[in-house]
Order: sequence, then structure tokens, then C-alpha cells
Amino acid sequence: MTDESALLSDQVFQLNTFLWALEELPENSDARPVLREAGYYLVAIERNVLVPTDETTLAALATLAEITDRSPCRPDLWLRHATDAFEPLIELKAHGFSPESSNRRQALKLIASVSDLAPSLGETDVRPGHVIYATGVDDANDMASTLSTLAAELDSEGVNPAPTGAIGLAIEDKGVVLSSPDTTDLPGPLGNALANRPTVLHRDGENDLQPLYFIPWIPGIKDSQDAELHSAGLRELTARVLTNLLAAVGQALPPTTVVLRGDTLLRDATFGISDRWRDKDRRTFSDSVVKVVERTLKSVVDLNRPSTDSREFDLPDLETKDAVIDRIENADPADPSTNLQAITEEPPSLFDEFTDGSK
Amino acid sequence: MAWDKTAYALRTMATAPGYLPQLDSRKAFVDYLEGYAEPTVEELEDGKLNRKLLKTYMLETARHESATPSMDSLFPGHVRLQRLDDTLYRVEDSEHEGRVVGLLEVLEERHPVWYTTLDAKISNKWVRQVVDRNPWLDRLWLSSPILFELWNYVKRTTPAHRYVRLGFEHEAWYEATHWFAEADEEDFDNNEPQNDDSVRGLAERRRSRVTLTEQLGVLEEKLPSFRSLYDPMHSLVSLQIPSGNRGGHLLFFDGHATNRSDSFVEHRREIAKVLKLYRAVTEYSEDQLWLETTEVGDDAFTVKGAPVTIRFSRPLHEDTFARFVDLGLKRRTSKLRIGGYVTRRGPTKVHVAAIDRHLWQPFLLEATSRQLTAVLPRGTCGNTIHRLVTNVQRLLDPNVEVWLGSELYETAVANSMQTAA
Repeated sequence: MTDESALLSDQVFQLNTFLWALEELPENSDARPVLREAGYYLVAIERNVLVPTDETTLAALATLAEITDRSPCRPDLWLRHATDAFEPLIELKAHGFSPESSNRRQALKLIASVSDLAPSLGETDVRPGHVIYATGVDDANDMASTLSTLAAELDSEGVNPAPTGAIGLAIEDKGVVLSSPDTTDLPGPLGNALANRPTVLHRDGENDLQPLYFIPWIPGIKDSQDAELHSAGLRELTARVLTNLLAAVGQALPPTTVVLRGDTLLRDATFGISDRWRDKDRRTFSDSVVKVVERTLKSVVDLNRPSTDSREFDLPDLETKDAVIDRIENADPADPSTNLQAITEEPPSLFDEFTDGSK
Repeated sequence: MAWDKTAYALRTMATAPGYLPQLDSRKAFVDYLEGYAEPTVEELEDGKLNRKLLKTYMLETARHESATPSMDSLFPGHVRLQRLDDTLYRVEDSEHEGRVVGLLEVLEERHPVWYTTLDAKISNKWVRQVVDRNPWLDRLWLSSPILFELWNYVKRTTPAHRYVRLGFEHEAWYEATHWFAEADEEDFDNNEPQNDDSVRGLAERRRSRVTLTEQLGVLEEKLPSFRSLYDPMHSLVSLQIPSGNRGGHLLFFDGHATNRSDSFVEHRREIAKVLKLYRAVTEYSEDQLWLETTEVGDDAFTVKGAPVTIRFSRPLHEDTFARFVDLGLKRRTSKLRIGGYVTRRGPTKVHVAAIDRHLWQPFLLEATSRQLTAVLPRGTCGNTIHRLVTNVQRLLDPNVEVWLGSELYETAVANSMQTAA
């Protein structure tokens, strides 16, 4: 059974919990869409929020945290409400942090940028935002206090800070609960929704609380993620790559040649999200997916390499197709010799080609 | 002009196994089939009809990322489609000495239907060979809610004194039992659902097959009580839509239909109606369910699409759940035709990076003892959902509630009927 305290601080779990809280679901479902029921819907994941460029704000950021970088903020979740004007921008954190923490810079930028979202949306009328940090419930009170302190610091420098608040995630007997140390810190409908500490994911006997993950893995968070949960995410991603490999072979009508591209398999396995990964992450994983294909299939078919990031093989008849499907179905996403974790963490070998085709 | 009646008769004669004559036009075939059900003088004298009934197999061409192959390339090499007009093909099969095994008509986009007068054993086998290993073709899966909606249509449009036939079926196939034999299980899973009778082990589990042929008015009055008393009667697997004259059009859950009326053209019209409803509900489901990410601004994205939820009428026993996971989700011989990679999340919860082993389309599935939740990526055929609902009702729980997002599947089917009407 998964360690529940590790789960609570896992950003992948947090993200998927919020996505289920926003889903369209039947009444009395195992997951309860408390945010959707309150009128919220998802606008975007990691959408840019422009940093204001007025001199007061830039001077305040420089004074308070030596911030001269004007690159946009990218909050994890951007929500909107059916009627309420305030748009919650939610940042997910494994743990809370103090006003002096290294996270101070990110939080100050966000609080300074969100009071009016219109510039970030290319609009003219004021669109007020609300900065919310979500973390484990034990840290939520201090988190709210930190945000409040940072907002006051900006205010004292003449900047109009966005309102701030915190959401705590807790695992209790009844399941995964959302709450806030002070619901009046949240936009009205959100505060009302969390006032009674609703359960998003209901506990079902001895079963793990993890819901089905829309997004099983997020690049770049390895250092802040529990090692076992990190591995589990990559096993799940490997499984999804393998089902897409099965799909490519299963849909082929022999005699034919099957062409498999690493980036296509990765895109399909992530519902297209890999297209928004950083170039380096996308390239690393596309190349690794090609290796998964190669190591899974080399014992049953002769693979050609039309390019670095693709492999192809012939399916002359149904018997060969059956053998290939059989091989893929027998692959184990947890196998350390063929799964994405092992392959992405392997040092480059002499035979690896770089993306420009050189060796 | 002299007319060689003998030669014409030979050319157009329906041979014993039910091959069609080698006619050259829609009109000729329609005329032939329209008269096909009429008994000959000899048959009337014998007191029985020797010819086979006309069967219709409703199919679906799957949606995949790449373009659908042309109609003739969807079929194996031994099957030859001779185009008669834009939507009608004469189907010849070299494994049947090149004779005409039926007609294929694209009655709705995505939905070809195969009409045949072959013996049912032969035609069922032919469809199994042509469809069941073809990732581009599937049968229509007329789930209980779809058949019940057609029953509602019958109630609205048919006089109360007409006779209607309803068939219900449920076998608690995944119910744990100490009595089943492993060999039987394998055979069972390999069989077509309608051939389940062919293998009987020592298994002792609930199995119900109920057929009611009764006046519509009586059924309309009694059926709600029957259903509340005995839950297998939520699993409607066949429905005979009365014809305008006598007999009717018998529809089965797996998309095949038998013309028990005296008119081919009327049968064709009813089939077209079923297809229209099916297409409407399938496309509506796909619009509601497809999960996709769409770009928002620079490198940001949003997630759209709702899951489908199949909620059991009561939680499955832990042993039944285990057997369902083992036989239904892990075995390649799964009756549900679902495969993939299973991750255990507890005694009665699994997550599956799943694949539809017929259409070979991936999806995500959570199975617990209380419900199934499926997330379908953009492009997944709605047929996968209809098949899952059909088979869950037949084999696991006849009285499930199905939801497309937050909307009852039954409501979506009823709304689709209005659209299709």
C-alpha cells in the first residue's frame, strides 16, 4: 500500500486530485468534483502570467528579492468560475515554506502579477486573479501566513498585491479532504465549497487512495518527489507507451510495414502533453521510447532504423503480427532492462546517436 | 422475343445453403429479396418454409488516426466486393466457390450492413472470420439502454394488440465459484457470446435467459414490475420490432438482425432507423468523453473530456472482483476483449493502461468492486463503450448505472433517439 504521507506531498497526486475535483462526474461517485460543483472549471495548466513592467513593481521585486528576471510565471492550475470574477491561480507544493525560503522569489512574482490578469489574456477589462498555494494540510496554515506576509511586503513597496490564500490536502479516514486554514482568504465560491472540508477522493476499504492519473508523470520534479512514487510514475508512463505500441501493431493490416516514431508514441501516451515539455525532456523521452520499442521487439522482428527517432519493421502476415503482439503483451513495464526509468537514467553509450545523427 | 425461362430460373435460383443469385443491380436484388420470404406453392403444400431467413449484420468501420482503408480492402483476400452502385456491393467469396454470400450496403456513413440468406451457422462463422480479427471493423453493440430505447419507440408506434418479443440474458460469469474447470473457462472465453451454450462445465452460477412473446399492451403493463422483481431483466439482449404486416425484425445485442417480416424493404428501413440512432448516440458519446489536451497560450494546455462510469448495483464480492480482473482484464481470451497492463491498488481496485483488443485503441480504466471508470483518448471509438456496457450487463451485473460524465447514458440514448427521429 502506498505511503499516504508521501502521497500527500506528491505533486503528481496533488495535480490529479485537483483534476478529479474539476471533472464532470455522476452523483455519489468515488471521486467528488467539489470544485466543479462550486462552479469552477479548468482554464489551463502552466499558462504564462506576465510580470507587470511598471517601474514600481519592478523596483519592488528587485528590492524584496533581487528579482530582475521578467520571465512570465507559470502557475500549475488556472481556474475560472461561472459567475465570480476572481480567477484562482493554484500553485502545488510538496511542502509549505517560510517568507525567507528560496520559493520567496516565485511567490512574490506571482502575487505581484495576478492582481490583474487582463494583460496576460490580451484583454482590456480588469480580470482579477487570486493566488492560492496548495500543500499538505499540516503546512497550510504557515503557507497562508507566508503568502500574507509576502503580499504585505509588496503592498509596503507600493505594489497592489493579488489576494492570497492556501488550500490544505489531508488524508483522513473518509479519504482525501480539501480545506483551508481561513476560507475567507479564498474567492467566495471557493471558500464556501471548502468550508465543510469536502472529501474529493473517498476511501474504499483497504484500497489505495490514488485515483486514475490523467497525468502520471511530470518532468523536472524528481528532486522533490518520493523515489518510489517517481518510479511508479515512470512505470505507468511505460505501460501507456506499450499500449500505444500495441495499438500501432494491432491496427496494422498485414502485409505492411509498421513505422514507429518515439515522439508520436510519447505524445499518444501523454494525451499530447509531451508536446509542451521542455525540448530537452521531450527529446530524452522520445529517444528512450525508441529504445523501449527496440528492446521489446528485437527478439521477434528485424528492426530497421530509418531515422534516429524511429524504427520500422515488416509485418508480412497475421502470424508475425500475432507474435509481435504476444511479445508486447508479455512486456513488463516494471522490467528494469526495458522501462523508461532505467533507459532515461542510463549513461549514453558509444552507440547512441546524437539527435544530429552524429555519434 | 423468346425468353429462356429455364436459364433465368437457374441463374436466379437460391441454392440450398442460401447463396444469393448473381444479379447485377440494386433493383434486381431488391426485387429478388422482396419476394424471397414469400413461400412457394411447394412450400405451402409442405406446410413449412425451407428457405433460410434473411439475416442482417450491422457493422461499424472504426475510427483510427490514419484514414480508413477503402471498403474492399477492409475484407480478407478471399472476399470480393462487386460494386453495384455508390453504396451497394455484391459480396462473393472464393472460399465459397466464388458464390454470392450476401450484399453489403453502406446504409450510414461508418455503418456497412451485410445482408445474407446463408444458414445462420455459416453466416455467423463468416462474420466471425471477417470482423473479429479486423481492427477496422466491429459489430454494432446494441447495449440494453439502446434496445430499451427502441422498445420505447415500439411502444409509441405500435398498436397494443401486436405481439412483441423481448429477450433478456444474464450469466454471472465472473461470479466466483469452486466448481468451474479451467479448460472450460478457456473455451468459454474463446467462444462467441451467442455460442456460450456449447460449453458447460461444472460451474454453478446464476444464469438467466428469458424470452417473452406477448401482446405489446400486456408487456407495457407488466414489464416494469418484472424488472423490479428480477434484475436479469435489466439486461435486454433482443427485441423484435413488429412489422407493418405480420412478423417483425428481430434485433440482437451483437448487431445482427433477422428479418421475420414478409418485406425486405421494410426490414432495410428499420435497420436504417437503428443505425441512425446508434450513430447519433455513438457520436454524442465520443464528443462528451474524448479526453484531449488542447493548447492554451504559449506551451500551456487544458484537459477536456469526461470519464464514463459504470456503477454496479451492489459491490462485487472480493472473489468475484478478483476473478473479473483475472479473466476479464488480464487474459487474452477475455470476453470483454480488454487487455493491457494492470496495476493493483488494493484488494478491490486496479488501474489498467488498457487496450481494446478488437479495435486496438488504448484507454485508461479503473476497476473497483463498486464501479468501472474509463477515460477515452480522443479518437477512441464509442463502440468500445457500447460493447463494454453490453458485456458488463450480460456477464457481471445486469442492473448497472452508466454515466457519460455526469449524464446518464440512458438519457443520452433517449436524446439521441429524438435527434435521429
